[in-house]
Amino acid sequence: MVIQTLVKAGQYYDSVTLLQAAQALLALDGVEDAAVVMGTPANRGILENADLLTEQAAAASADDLVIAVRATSEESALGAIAHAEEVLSERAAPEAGPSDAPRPRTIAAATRQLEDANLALVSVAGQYAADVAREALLRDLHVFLFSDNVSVEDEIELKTMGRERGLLVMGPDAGTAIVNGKALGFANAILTTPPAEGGVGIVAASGTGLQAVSTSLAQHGVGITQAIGTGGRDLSAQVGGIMMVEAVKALAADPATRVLLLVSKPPAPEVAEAVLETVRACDKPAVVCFLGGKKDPIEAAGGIPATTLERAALIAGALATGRDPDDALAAVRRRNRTLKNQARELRAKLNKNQRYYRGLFSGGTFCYETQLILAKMLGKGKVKSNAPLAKGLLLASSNVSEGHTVVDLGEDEFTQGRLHPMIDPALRNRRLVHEARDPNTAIVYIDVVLGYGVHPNPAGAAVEAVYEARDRLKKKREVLFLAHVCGTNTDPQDASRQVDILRQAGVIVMDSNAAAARLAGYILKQRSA
Amino acid sequence: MHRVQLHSASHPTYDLLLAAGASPEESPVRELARFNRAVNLVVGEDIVALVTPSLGNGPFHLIVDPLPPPLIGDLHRVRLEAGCLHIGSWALDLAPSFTVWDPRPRWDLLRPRKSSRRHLLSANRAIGRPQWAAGSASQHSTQRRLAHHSRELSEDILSQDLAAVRAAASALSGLGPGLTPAGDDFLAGLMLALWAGDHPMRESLCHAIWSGTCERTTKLAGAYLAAAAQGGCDEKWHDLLRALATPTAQARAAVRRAAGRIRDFGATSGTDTLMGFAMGLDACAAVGARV
Repeated sequence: MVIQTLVKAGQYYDSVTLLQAAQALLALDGVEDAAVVMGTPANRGILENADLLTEQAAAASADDLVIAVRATSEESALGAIAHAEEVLSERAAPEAGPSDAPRPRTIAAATRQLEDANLALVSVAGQYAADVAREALLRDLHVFLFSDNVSVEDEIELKTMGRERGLLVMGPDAGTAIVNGKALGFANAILTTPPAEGGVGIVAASGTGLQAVSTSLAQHGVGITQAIGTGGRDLSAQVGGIMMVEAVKALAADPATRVLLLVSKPPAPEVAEAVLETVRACDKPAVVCFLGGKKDPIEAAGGIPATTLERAALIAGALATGRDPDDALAAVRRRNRTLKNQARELRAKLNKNQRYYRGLFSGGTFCYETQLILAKMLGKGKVKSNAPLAKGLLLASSNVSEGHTVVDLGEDEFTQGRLHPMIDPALRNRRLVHEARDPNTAIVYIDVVLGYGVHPNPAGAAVEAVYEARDRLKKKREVLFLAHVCGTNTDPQDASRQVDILRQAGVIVMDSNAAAARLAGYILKQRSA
Repeated sequence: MHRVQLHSASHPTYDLLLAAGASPEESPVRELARFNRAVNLVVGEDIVALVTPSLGNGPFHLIVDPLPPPLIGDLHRVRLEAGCLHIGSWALDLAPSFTVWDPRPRWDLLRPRKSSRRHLLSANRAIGRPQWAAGSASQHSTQRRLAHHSRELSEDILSQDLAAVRAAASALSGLGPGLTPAGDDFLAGLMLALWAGDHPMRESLCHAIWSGTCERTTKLAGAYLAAAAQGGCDEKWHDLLRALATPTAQARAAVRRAAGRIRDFGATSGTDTLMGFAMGLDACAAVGARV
């Protein structure tokens, strides 16, 4: 074991930068522990307790920056210190002096710098977001509105204005979009058509729903043309699905798009009618996944209903590449038939008191889809949530599980003042340990979402919690840890590598959220049978 | 000579610079750190922050637009003449609307109302303690110590044991990552609450806390703590205090908005300060102070 430290005088960074630098070091091979902190006496005490203090660090002053690493070899330790310096210098680079080219502070200044721009990504405090988006529309820019806390009145006004000017308004609270191959928000590295075979045009009122289908298509070698996120409120009765209708029309007119794929929770009935009317008018196949919604109106409109995100992607992918959707779904049916046997084997590892499912989600749509599947398998009213299918199933406290529980940790109540769990999984990891310690817990499930802008190694962070949970259980009982990775092998985190990390830690990794929910359902069904 | 506009100066900072300007000699002035929206100087033993208008007034702020280029060297002549504050090679032209801003709110007029306090506590419960990336022993240890010592401090304030308060503040000071470590942010918020809640021992408690932090944290955090001990704070806090004292039906939304702006300050500083403030209000309520 080797401890190396570097003390840098007069170097100042904010907390997040220092934490990210420390996290980057912890992800390196051979690094056992690391800290990047100001050299205050209290922090030096922490370093000492963590076996990270050297003589050099002990002599640091409160205004010195200390980088400390404990590693398995001198080479790893020195490499980590150098890496920390690189990370910090990258973060410091934009903070150079006023000689840098001025960064635009307004839409007007930005369009002066980039005259050919045709889309504005707006991510400012909610109270200002509508004004900025309005200005972008007035300058004939499509808008991707990442900000939330925009009033419904503003949303209606912006979308009406966008429709009148022939511009898209994606959002507010739009998590993901891929426009002309450019990933916006929490998007993944997917395949686009051309050059990839396919040509699926996606419209989704759900960020993780869009990620789920676009990554599934990419994993099956199918390219997309566009993936348009509308924001979750678009399909409410108030907003009336303005943007979903416009996006469907745009993709219907796009020659590169061969198949449309629509994803959302069930819209308000009158909105569903308006959306399906555009589907009826479209002469291309349209796969419609209104999770938990009715099939009949979709079929009546000439659409192809899909009950899960996984099935939606498989059907759309098959249609876009000239294959029979039934063949694509056959593989899912074959896999599903094996789930019962797998469930039986896993069930044997649990004791008689372990009978509950605990799902800890970073993606709201995965949380919703899981509730639908479990409700079908275990019975309605059996699963509680902070984002429930019905009001009566609302958890009394989002922090306390009751029986079968699924928690959407991306809900506002968990993200105010904190980073989203896709970026910082610390809160979920603590909850994972907590849930595993409950003697009634049989299964703890996590969705691992990859892509641009999210945690660099979410599986690595999750397995640390899994190990901690196991340590605390002290072999008294075995809890089943279940996961699904939403991402592609070309994502910065590499989906196959993430799956390996989870499996090496004994986590059962399923190839879709629906498959994971079904496996859990079989395990718990057999338990209660 | 680099000219920028000076829009406002905090009262203590303006006085400090006037005092430095009274000397014909060069004063010890050096640039401590430079960020996108702020340049921190050390003037003698004190911190002065040149900030852009988006950061707003603060206890040791000069609001300038734009930020001037780096100040080279450790000794500079400071002088105020003909509507211009000169610091070394910088000329800060006093804008026509230039104001001297008092970082101490009118504490006597800004007592949080009980109902508004509930709004703040509810907003804080939603915020929770900042969740740091877990995974390393040192980070876990920092979190545990923060939780432990803040509980300890709360109990010591309730028992009004000044020596114990000083010791607990000392343990919290400098604890955590960042330029203003989490422990110091928490202490600053706590002291502001003692002022807001009109705690009968606020001066002595603030002195005990502040003296416990001396030499234990960064210069910048020390400056915030010194200001908070004397009841001085950022403009954003003035907004929150006004919202907390507002009797109207809109108070709840105003409190949430103002708390949100504080929370958005720094990486985790705003949240930590709000947590300290909430604990301080509880301490005031426990002794029957006016909250």
